Amino acid sequence: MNEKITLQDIVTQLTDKQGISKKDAELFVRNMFDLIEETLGNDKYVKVKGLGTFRLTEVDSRESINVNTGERIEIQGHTKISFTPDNTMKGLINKPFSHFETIILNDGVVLEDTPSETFEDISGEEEELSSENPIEVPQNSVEEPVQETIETEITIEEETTMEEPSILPTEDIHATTIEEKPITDIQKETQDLSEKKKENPSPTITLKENKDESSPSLWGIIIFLVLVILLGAYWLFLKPSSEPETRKATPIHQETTAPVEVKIEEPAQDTTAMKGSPEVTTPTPITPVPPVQVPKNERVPSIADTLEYRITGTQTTYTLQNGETIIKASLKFFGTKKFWPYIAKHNRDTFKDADNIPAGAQIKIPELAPKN
Amino acid sequence: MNNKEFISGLSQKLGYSNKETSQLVSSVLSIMTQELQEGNIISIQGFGTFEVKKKLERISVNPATQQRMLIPPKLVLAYKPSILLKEKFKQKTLSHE
Repeated sequence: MNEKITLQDIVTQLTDKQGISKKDAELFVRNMFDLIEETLGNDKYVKVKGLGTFRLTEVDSRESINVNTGERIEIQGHTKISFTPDNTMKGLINKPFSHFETIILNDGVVLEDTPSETFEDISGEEEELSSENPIEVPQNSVEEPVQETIETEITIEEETTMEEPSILPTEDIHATTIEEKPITDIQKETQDLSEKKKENPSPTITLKENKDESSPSLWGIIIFLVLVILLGAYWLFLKPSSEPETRKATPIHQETTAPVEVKIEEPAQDTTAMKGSPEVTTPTPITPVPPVQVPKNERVPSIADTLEYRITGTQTTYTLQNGETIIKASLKFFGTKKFWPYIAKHNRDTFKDADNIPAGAQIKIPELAPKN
Repeated sequence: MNNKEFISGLSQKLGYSNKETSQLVSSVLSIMTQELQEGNIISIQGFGTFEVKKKLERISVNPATQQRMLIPPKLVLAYKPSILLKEKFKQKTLSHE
């Protein structure tokens, strides 16, 4: 491939093929090209069957600008040799690509302009992806310590319950917690989280496996999905979680994730902790409560779930964005999705059907105070 | 000058018969084609070089119908005359004028 073949190489091949002397062969080939040259000078046109047509074409004089000096120069008219391969030659040369055919494109078809550009696109995408992957891995690791804290939480709680006489001491610790304890919100969450944790590594693994095969658009979708799952897990954990968990978890979150979100939530949950924790902790030492009730009280995610509220007035009005529900609004203003019935109640006169509120609607956000 | 004239001119020059000459020419050309198909560059001293060039696929638009077409990639034979030959014909026309 890409070797330079000279007249000598043709001559040696010709002698092998035709069985004539090397001298004759060389003379013949040399004369052949000489004749083409000669007749070009005389006739301005030589046609060789199986090769193509050599032609002399005249080029008119034209003006140009000297690139270095900026001077205007005139390129004088001259003749140049043009060569057009004949059809048989064309076909033979193009043989490796002959199976390609011209495709008529429909109007809807959007194609990359040139193949070189698409290659660049792909490589660029790949670079982006490779840069994104390392980001994802730490996110997973962020979740893991949180998960551990939850698990330790459970084991701590369990130790307290272990002291109670009703629980069998021989069984596996983790098994007992899941089987015996009533399914509270936290356990759902932890299960959810652990499920998600299981889910998360698998897509990343498949991503790495498919890296070379899958198309860039698929990549983007998969990465987006993984991010969404991670975010979902993060929200599930942080939002309606119980006070001890958040207390332990928040420092971790402050270190790793964006501090803004955490700061917004901290005051609200701190107050709940202030109110909730003394109530919960005080009864336990005085009266030995059956184990079922103790975790229930301890695992109250926030006061929102247990206390009833009354609407004292309108806090503010809010315009629903496209795709937003009052549940989202509830999450935005009260920090939990569970407060949406209050918003629904407060807006009953304007919107009868709480399930169908149009986008852009002005809703009133109620001011809430505990009933007791 | 067409192929027939070319062959007869060559046979006169070398003293071969027309049949022999055409046979030799076609064998020379088949050797050249074979080399070109392998991607080699044929360079003939004082005449020029023959080279196979790859043209990338492209989209062309028929200006009359606005029909867009995807032209497939192809291999074409390109001939580049040697500087010597180029200058010779350049000079020839200049002196002619």
